[in-house]
Amino acid sequence: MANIPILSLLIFFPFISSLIILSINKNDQFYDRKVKEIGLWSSLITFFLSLILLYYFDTTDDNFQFTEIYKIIPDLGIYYYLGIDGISLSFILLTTFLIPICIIASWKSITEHINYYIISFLMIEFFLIGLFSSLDLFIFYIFFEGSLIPLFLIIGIWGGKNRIYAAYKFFLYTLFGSLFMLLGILVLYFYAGTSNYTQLTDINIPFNLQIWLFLSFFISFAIKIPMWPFHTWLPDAHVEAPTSGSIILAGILLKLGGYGFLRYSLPLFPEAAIFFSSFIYFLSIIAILYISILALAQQNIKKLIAYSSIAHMGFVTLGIFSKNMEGLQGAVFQMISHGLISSALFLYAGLLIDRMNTKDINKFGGLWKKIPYFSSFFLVFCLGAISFPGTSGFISELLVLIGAFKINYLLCFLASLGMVFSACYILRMYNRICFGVSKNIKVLDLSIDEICISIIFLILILILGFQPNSLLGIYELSTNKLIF
Amino acid sequence: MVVFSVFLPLISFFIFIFFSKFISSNKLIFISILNILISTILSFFILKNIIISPQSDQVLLFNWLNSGSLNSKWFINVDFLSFVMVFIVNLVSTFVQIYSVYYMKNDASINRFFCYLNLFSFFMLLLVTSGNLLQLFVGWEGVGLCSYLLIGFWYVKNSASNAALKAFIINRIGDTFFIIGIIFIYLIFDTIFFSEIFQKFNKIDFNTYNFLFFKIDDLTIITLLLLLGAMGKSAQIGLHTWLPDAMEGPTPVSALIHAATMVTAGVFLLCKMSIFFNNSILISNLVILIGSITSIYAASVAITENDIKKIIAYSTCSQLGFMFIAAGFSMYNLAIFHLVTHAFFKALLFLGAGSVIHTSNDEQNIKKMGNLWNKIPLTYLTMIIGSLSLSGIPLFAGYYSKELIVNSGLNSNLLFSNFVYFISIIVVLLTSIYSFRLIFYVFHNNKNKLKFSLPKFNFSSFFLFFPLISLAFLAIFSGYFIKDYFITEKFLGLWISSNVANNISIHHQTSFYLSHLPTLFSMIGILFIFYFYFFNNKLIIFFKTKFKKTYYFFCNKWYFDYFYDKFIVKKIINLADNLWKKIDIELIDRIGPNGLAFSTKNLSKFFSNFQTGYIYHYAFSFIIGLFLLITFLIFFFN
Repeated sequence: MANIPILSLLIFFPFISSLIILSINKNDQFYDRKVKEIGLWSSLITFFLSLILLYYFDTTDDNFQFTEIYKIIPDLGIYYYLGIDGISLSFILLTTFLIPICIIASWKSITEHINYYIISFLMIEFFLIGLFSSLDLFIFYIFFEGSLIPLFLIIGIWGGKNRIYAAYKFFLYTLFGSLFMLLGILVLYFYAGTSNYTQLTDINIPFNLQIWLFLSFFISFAIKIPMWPFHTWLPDAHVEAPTSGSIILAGILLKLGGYGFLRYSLPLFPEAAIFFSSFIYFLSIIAILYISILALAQQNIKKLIAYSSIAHMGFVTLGIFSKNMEGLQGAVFQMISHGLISSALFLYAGLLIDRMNTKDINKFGGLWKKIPYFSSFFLVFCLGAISFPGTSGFISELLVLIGAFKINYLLCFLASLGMVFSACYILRMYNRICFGVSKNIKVLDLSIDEICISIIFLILILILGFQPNSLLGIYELSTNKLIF
Repeated sequence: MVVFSVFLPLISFFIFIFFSKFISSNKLIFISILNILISTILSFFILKNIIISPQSDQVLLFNWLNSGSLNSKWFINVDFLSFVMVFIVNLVSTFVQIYSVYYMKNDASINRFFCYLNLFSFFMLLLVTSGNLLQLFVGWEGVGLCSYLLIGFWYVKNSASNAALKAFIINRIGDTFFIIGIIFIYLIFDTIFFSEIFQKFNKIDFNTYNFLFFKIDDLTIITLLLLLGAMGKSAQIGLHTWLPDAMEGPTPVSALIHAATMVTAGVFLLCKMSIFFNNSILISNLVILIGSITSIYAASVAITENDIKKIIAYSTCSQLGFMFIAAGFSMYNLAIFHLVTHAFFKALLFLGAGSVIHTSNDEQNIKKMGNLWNKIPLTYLTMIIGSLSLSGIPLFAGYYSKELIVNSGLNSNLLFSNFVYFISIIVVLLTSIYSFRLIFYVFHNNKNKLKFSLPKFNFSSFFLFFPLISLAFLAIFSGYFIKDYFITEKFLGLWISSNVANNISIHHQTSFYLSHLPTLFSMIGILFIFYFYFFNNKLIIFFKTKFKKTYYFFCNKWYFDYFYDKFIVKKIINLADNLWKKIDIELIDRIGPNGLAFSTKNLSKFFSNFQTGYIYHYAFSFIIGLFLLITFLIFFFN
């Protein structure tokens, strides 16, 4: 395995596939179908490649593995430097798993410009895998920014009525943050003389500089997660995005912030991280409580799930900055678990909206009678979102709460209120949708392929809930390195 | 064998999930009843073995979560406490499943019903047999979920769907305290296994804090958190409002979940964690206070309530209060004893109520019923047996457990023990009053002409009669035959081996007359109601007018629901709406992205005003600029 540049292969495979899609003759009778099939197959192959990665990944080694290093600009110390540890591997697997699902989810619902749509998703996959496996600050920045563009297009072109506003809001917010990060990266580069991640971790940065650098990275990551008060772009983006756009947005793009904290903020600026941690606890608790209360007021199903995502991400930041083992493990677990659960919820919200042509939760009602399969699966995903024991959500929130308790019992108590609120808003939504009197409309239950996707999600959520060690084992050593 | 006695209901659940399309519903139900029957028999034999040779054994299932020193394995804990519960859960489940064949036979979604019932039985068995706190928590939340699903079983009714939501959320509040308690225990003891916690208990030094005027240590906080968790599940005062509403579910569900098993999980927790409660005097006092207030609250509401199921629900609440009192007096064996007898007679009362409701065409208001005694004589007889047992008339099962609980107030050293004794005597009186008020209105009151649909004797009558008769037998005889295991010192080893820290020596110290006071009071209650309704009807109206305020206070359930709705639920909903519209949309969005966009636009408009295209404007600004520059240069460089 040592000789094959498997990470580069994994990164560039979706890119090459999208080039292939561009090169097909557009006048072909089955053009749309061909495009979709190429997209699906290439994303599936990428998924299998990432499984190979998992197979050869050594969980007893806490160094970066599968490293590839080429000099791009030797004189300036900028490298094309790739490598993964347990945390990045988990996120790569999540990405490669969700992209095929996104393509299947848009199989029938997207009819216009299908080729560009598929290409957007393949490009997102390209940028995301690159981002998770890059170990050079500049390369990271390029991928980080690049991942913004396809989603901007997805919301802006294939979105709902108010898509332009939502797309611009999303773009402005994230670009605003990224610029600060670019500034930070440049300062760091001129201070250290290199952008190589492993070299940077060995350098001691003076405290004053750390604070400024931490803040510049923080703004960017906090907007991505999103943390209060930078969150208002997310509900709008979700409401306007097409179903698969929401899946990728909630499933992975929200996790970039958390990944950034784990990869850059904690190891590079440890003293600043300690300095700011109380402040971040404060923001996390606000995210959990304030956003949970806001979610109670939502009537729009996608907005409600979007707000619940923000509240769940509050647990991530709380866990990361508790900086103890349980907190860190719980934070990563929460990101992966939320990636699965919220994707499933958005998928189901999309199915509902396609079937009933409304987003108002009061206008559904009594669906259990009409579509029992849908309602049963939906129930399990809702239980995941309220961190019901046996689902993956419970493990992550339990670990984060333990981590928070070690810092301060009050923190744990306030955060645990989030569990009460999540039960309120999620089950309130479920009651409005599936219980009650059914409307006199014909609604189709799940089709075979939808059932298959649901079962895959269900099994993954339950496996992570009952055998959490299978995921914890992958990244355990990597998070243990971050404890201080 | 041990594994089967716990996992058979889960197997039934999966059979219902996967095969309901292929196998007819009758066969599936037959399999389900067979499974639960087998697991009842298995658990009976396991229990017998444990009694013969007291032991504590563990059967490992699988490894769950390892993170640092947090190590959680799933295993089945085999000891007396667990398997008494297993046996009761399985037994009552069997009766309820058989009864459900009769009760739900015309319901189209009977498969779904049995599916939930089996899932519930599994979670409940998991709860009582778990060997560590987290596994217990899985069962704990699992029964809450099944309760949610079963209360909302007739989801088309809005009231059912709301009641389900209410039950889940209030339970979740208790569960959250419980999970914090678990985390606290883990961080102090570094383990979540019961056996290790009990071993380490005496070696731990708890931190002490000064809080207001109390000295509070970690132990008190942990115990308080556990108590709050138990209160949520066992519907104790403050967190009780979900239980009466839960009566929206089908009646077999009320019998199984909201009388015999799930609601007693809180009492089970108190007994399981008895070592914590025993060592915290403050919390023990709190437990008896909560128990007694709950019992008098529920009893007082029950005497004014008119819904047949809600009366029994309040009665459950009140009896749970008694179990809490027993646990607070450190007599956990007595709490479990009352739990067992209560499971029988309360399940009996609910199943009887189900029969009444079916006969009177789904009418639940007892004021509208009447004269049923000669139409459904068997139900009449069994309900009387249940009520006598509930009132604690001698020789009936309830007598043995209840009398001891009431009298334990006399022998305790706790601060509030006399107060609690006083309250519980009143509750005993009220209990017999509301039970026989129900009997009178339902079976004898002949003012009303309600339409009946009398049950026909056919094959399905068996499914009605068998559970009723068996439970009636148990409600009479179980107390006498099993009391030795619970209250004599001969079987103390059983409790010690299951790590229950009992305080057994205080029974039977009171004088003969004093110890029979509760019995006397419940007799008085029955005679009272007999006199009222048969000889002097006006007396009730006299009471209602004389104590109007008290009557309305009871009628409105002490205004708990009103208070919660007005001051908590509505406030939070309003707050949510305001925060969203005022802060998120008005403040953050206006200043943030929209503000930025807006100001950029204005700024560019402002600057574009300069580009007028007239030469004299440009010339003018050029001259002004030159003038300023020269002034600047002169000032600074001269």
